[in-house]
Amino acid sequence: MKRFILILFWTFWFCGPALCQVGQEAQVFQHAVNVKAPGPDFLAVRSSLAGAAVVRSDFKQKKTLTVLKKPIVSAGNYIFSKDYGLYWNIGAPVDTSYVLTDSYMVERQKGFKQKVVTPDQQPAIFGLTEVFEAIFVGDLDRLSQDFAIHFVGSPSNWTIGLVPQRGLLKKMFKKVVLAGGQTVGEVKLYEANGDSTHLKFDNTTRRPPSLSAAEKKLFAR
Amino acid sequence: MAGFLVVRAVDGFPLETNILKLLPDTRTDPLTEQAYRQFEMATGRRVVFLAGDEAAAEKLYQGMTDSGLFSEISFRVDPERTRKIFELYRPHRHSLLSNEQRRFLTAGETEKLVQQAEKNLMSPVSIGSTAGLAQDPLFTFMEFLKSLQAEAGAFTVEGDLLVARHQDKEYILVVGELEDNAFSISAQERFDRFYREIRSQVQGVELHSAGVIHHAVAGTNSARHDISTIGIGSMAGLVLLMWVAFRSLRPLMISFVPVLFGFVAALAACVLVFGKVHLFTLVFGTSLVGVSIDYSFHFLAERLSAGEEWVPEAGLRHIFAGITLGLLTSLAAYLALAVAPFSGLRQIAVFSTVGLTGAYLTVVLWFPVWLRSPSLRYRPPTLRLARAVVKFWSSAKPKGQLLFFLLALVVLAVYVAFNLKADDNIRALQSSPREVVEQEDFVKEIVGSSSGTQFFVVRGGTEDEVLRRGEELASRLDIEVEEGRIKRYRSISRVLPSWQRQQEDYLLLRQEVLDPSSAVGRYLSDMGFEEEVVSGFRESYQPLEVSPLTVKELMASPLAELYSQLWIESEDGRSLASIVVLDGVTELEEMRLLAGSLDGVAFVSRADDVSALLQTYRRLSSWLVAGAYCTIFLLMLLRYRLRNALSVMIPPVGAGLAALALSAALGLTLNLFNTLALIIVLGVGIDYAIFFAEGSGDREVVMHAVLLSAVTTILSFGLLALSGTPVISSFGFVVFVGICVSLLLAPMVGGGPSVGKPPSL
Repeated sequence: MKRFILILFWTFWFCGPALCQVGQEAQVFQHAVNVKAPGPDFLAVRSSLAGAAVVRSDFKQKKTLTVLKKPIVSAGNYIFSKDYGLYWNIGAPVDTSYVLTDSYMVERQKGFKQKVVTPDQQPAIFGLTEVFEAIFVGDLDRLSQDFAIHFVGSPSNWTIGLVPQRGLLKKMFKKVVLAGGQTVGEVKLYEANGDSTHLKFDNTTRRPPSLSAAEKKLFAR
Repeated sequence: MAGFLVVRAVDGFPLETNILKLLPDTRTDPLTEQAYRQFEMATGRRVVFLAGDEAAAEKLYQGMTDSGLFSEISFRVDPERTRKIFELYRPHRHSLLSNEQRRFLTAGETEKLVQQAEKNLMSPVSIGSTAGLAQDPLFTFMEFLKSLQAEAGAFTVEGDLLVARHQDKEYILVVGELEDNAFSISAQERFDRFYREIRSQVQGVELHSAGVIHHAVAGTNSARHDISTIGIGSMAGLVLLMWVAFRSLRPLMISFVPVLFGFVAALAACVLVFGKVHLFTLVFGTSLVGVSIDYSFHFLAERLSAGEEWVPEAGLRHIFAGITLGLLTSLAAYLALAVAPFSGLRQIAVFSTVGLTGAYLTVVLWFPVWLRSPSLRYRPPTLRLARAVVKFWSSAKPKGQLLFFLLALVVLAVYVAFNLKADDNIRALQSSPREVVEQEDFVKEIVGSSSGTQFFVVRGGTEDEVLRRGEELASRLDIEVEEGRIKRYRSISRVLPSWQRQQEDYLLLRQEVLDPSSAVGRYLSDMGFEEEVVSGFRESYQPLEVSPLTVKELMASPLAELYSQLWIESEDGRSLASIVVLDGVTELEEMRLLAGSLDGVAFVSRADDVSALLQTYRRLSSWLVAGAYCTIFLLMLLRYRLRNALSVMIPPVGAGLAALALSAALGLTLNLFNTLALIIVLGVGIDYAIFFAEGSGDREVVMHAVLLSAVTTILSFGLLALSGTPVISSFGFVVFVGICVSLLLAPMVGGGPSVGKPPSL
């Protein structure tokens, strides 16, 4: 009995926060945000997320696809800079990095020629990657252009729900859920076809607030 | 001028304004020619618009529909377009590979295919594409579609609009096919009106447009502007001249009757013989005024000098030998042009011959009837000027004058030979206003389609052969693009692999997919795909052969809009060809060599072909002009002694050489059109010289007539030198200088007591 209580206790201890989040995720879509007159908590979160000049973070990605028996797991890190853009690096199991700036997108996969795409060449892809960038760093101003925004929680523990409003995004996604505190802690993308992607961010930091020379190099084409 | 107005007044007159139509077709191979024609027609009728917003695009579309100018307008696209293109390829997905993946498979680097698939599974960017994963677990079809997308250009379908982004601005694409040829004058006028209207309607919103029609409108407008402003100036000048010379406008009216009659007769003859009259023939024909009006003026000057003792028949007898010989020499000069196998020159020859003969006959037959009464008693200032000139020449007649002039001619000829450069580049002759060119560059930058003056024609006996040859060419062109020798190319093989390649690609994939121990096989089992996905995928690779994706299917899809112009079938359906359009070619010779090294591939560079043609005909015309000069010299030898024949030749030769020398000094270049102007100079120069040589009576009277006709000629078309159209101005300049010099030199001819030997003509 004692063991049972102990197990129960530890279960709650570890899963509680997660359950809490699940609770928030279930609720969030009932709390639409009026973007023109948002509440103070949402405003605080929005400005806090928007305030970062540079964000560095590790991530773990779990993709659950309907045609696969098991989820696909990968891990890596990203660097976001307001001035440069997004550097997204999947370290394992495929060594591939993406650089996304206003004027070009670079894909570097180990063993392959690097691929550079400019917005003039493939505007559709660019529109899409821009949205992804906004999702990962929580750029709510940008996201409110394409999504209806929902919000629950407090500045230290919030959940944001996004419902795509038009075009390609609407065809692709059912909804997107972001959660976090000071920074974005996790992102869940729910696709229209039943697939989903779950990203968890760790070791997220905004310091130092500018890029080192080595980091800047990563953004070059 | 009058002629031009007449032509303009008659709606639907078959006037041709395309300079290229002056030239003969050199392409002998019928399919290449058909390909060329079909492509030219398609591009010639295409007008591309870019509108800054949807409202403007909508207005534009309405305007286009209402104008009735367009046989086809593409504006709102099928919102299902992307899906339909996807559906075109989906049934054939097992046999479609991107170039990159094909290279991996043929090089035995199958694991790279797998690595790309894994990357696609993990990439945050390509999430949406996993929807088709069950059908395409290896991502080969997705990679193929991605490589196609790179082809689609800058446009994306948004809703039902084609939208391009350029420097942070959005443009909506609207494309129209003109009902009529861009060189039809009435289509040009209606288009011009339509486009002005639209631009004023969408003020404040960006609107860009490009198409051959814009060049054609600009060309015609500038020609019309020239002809009307220069025309008004010259009319005013002529009226003033007549008043000063005859104190009456009646001579002006009467002297233009033969010119007009000749002009109309010539026009009729040309329409009869050629079906269409070219604008350049008309310009050339207008300049014939200068020659045919001579006949009138000689008659009038004779009448003026006879005063009260005027007997029309006697007057005619006085000038008859002169103007008849003048006519015959001019005809000899123009007929020399007809020797060339060149419809443009033949048209000019027919036009000139008929026109001059008509004017001559009118003077000879009708003037004695119309002008029976003597003229007013009047000593015009022009006659005093003529007298002064004649006096100068007769007093300044030192010994060795002929030798001096001959020497001067040699010096001029040497100067011309060393300094005058030729330039046959059609681009220099067909220069459009900057605005039109800038618009075209802008649209080209965004739309990425070339106006298509440089392309390959790929021929073959079967569809597959054409596609295979196209593929071979494309693989070579990819290298050229990479090395910067061309900017891009458009070819059907980029969206449609040959049957052979489809079959090969299928077999390459089949081998990997069906072998469980291959990298692909391991990927399929290790990644954790559901059993039915893997078995279904393997199942689809069981057959040994695939039914290929065909041109017919492609042309039934939305891609037909972009690629139907590039596929040509001969009328009997037995030979096939595709066109590969190039953009930004920097090394022409490289392209020719490339075409030469491949089977069934020919390189066509329209502008360069035309320039080469212009060069050929410039050379030919130069010989013809030289031949005409020689012919006339021989004619003169029949009538005069050597010494006098030489002196009669000095004005036309001197005029021609002086015009060329001055052109060289001013940095102008020789082209087909100013070469042809030399024929006019010859005709006018020899006329003036003969009038002096034959003028048995008063040299002052002859001088007076020559002076008047020269001033008239300069006023009526020498002013074309001021034209903004390079073809016309280069022509006008030579004529202008030539006539001035002829006028100066002519009075040195004759004057001695015994000029002629007994007439032998």
